[in-house]
Amino acid sequence: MAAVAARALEIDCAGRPTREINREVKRAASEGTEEIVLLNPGGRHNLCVALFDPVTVKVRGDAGWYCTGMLDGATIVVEGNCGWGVAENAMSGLVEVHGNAGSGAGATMRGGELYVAGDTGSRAAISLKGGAVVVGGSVGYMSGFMMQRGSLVVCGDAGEALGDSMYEGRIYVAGEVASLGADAVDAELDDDDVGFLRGELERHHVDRDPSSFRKVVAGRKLWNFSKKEFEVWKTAL
Amino acid sequence: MENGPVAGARVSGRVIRPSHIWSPEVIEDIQEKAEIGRYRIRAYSTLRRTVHFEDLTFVPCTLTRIPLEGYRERCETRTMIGGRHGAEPIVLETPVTIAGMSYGALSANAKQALGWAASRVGISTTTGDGGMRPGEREDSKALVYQVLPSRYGFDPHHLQMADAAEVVIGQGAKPGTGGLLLESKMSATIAEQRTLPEGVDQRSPVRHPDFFGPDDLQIKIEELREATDGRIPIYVKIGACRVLEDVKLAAKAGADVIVLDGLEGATGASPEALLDHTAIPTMPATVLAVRALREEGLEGEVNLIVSGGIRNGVDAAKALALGADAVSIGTAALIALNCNKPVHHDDYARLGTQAGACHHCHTGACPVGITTQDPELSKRLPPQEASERVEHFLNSMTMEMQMMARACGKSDVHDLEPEDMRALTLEASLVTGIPFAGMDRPLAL
Repeated sequence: MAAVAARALEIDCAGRPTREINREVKRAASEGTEEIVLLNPGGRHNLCVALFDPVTVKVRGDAGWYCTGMLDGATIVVEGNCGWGVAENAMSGLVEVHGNAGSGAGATMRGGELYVAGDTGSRAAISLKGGAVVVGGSVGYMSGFMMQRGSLVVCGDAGEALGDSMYEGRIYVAGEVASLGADAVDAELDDDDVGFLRGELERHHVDRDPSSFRKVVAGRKLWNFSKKEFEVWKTAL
Repeated sequence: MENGPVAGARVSGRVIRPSHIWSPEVIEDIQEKAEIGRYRIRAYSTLRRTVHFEDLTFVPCTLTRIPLEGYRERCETRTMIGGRHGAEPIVLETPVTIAGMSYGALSANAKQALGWAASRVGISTTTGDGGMRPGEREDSKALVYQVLPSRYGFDPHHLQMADAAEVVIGQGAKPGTGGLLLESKMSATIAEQRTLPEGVDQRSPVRHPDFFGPDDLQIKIEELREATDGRIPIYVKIGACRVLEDVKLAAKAGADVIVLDGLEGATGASPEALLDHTAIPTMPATVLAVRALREEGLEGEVNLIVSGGIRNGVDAAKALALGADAVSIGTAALIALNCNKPVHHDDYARLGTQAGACHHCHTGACPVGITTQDPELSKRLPPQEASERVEHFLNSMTMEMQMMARACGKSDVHDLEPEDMRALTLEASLVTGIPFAGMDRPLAL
């Protein structure tokens, strides 16, 4: 461990237990350190979990599962790939992943933003409750499953069953959609959507025409059971 | 009240002969489904008879053993839960917990009353789908925070305020299927807490969004420990299915406490088919769970809480004697609140039922203000007096557990053991390995 600049800190993760690393990150963040660099993360799980202070953490390498899970207020940049559940249940803050992310990226997020420059596995933005998940590449099957609120932006392609059983929220896809899930329907892109997309794309330096995205929302047929729409329910359940 | 056909009665000189296969209940079931176009939904637990703790009897001290004075001598009930990995254990003054029941399934007054009662008795309560209700932390001295597949209302700040976290894999009432909260209970307040549209039928997911199997669960448990700095115990709740394997896997994944919910476990709403045709009963599940921990060398290290159909201190004492560390109650606590109380008869009738047989929690029209979000119905449950009833009931459970333990010569309720009991049915003997009454050795196939 060595100070690299005023109010900045480097932590070498090599050979240290994750608990000890997370404790040190939280202690430094709570004491006002503005930037922390984690060296040699080694793909370990549960880095920067439940970090609530407004600090910037740069992870110099790959992280394992649940990296930045339950985040509230911090900014985390992963300069590599992430395992499953990156930024799961984040409340606020920003997570940037320069590589790819595993399944369940941004699962159940309630606020904040997750940007994955590469691709994600299946179920990106599953049960999303708020905030935005922006993926520079493609997402796997069942992304946006049971989404409740917030936005999923996919600059590449989306796998099968996109937006299956979503309650509310918005999904935007620039590339191909393998198939829509149960009760997920196309909607017209309006000026608000284009404005939102333009902002997201500019912020993350993604070169895409915001008006070229396809918009998917909830058909709302699964909100309440109707015996007259049995085919919908047979598929959904 | 409409009466069904009476076997043996005569109509126009001919004897009425209802079918066993096509009984009046089956006919009513088919015709109801023909009307509503889906599976039937109701609350409470299975209506069927299961092999149960009532099939066991204690055999207290006589000449071969010396009893403790039943009304006088000290009998310990204090129970420490969850210290396996160095977390601060939950201290239960008596080996009972209040099971997870959501604000949404229950009214705010009901949740508050349960919290107050549990705090006075010195036991824990548990949140539910939808997360921590405003004020719930203050109401409960010991609070277990559930991590459910839906993660409705999940807030890491609330997790850090809790005394334990419970990862819910499933429940005994409907293992393999997610929660259900119907439109009538999805008020604006409940909907906002869960980030759902008001008035939807909430059909919760069953799979967790960020892990599937036991290997994943191990990492999830570690995440929860990181989020809480290892301060609180991590429970894993499972519906009783493949108990021997599931308990071993949960323990291997790092659970400090396993909560095992049997077939008799209840719920605020479920497809009826699941209530009656899934899971195994709590008593044999307890036996299997204890065996699983013993085979792994983890008995006493991983704590076991069992639930589902625990009706009183005697059921609890039998569960302890089979090896559980504590029991969890839901329905019994609600009944102590006033559930099924013979009052407001017209309101029961409007639901098509009667006090004593009401299992209509799913409608949100609870006549006694427990399982409702209707402000007027909720007023029927003043939390202070309701909490006193629950407190009294919990105290009665403690006294009954102590009574059985003292009669069996034990100065700690946890010292009760299978040898203190005999089976009253062949099935109970077979599943517990306890001798059938009148026999000197267990039945075995």
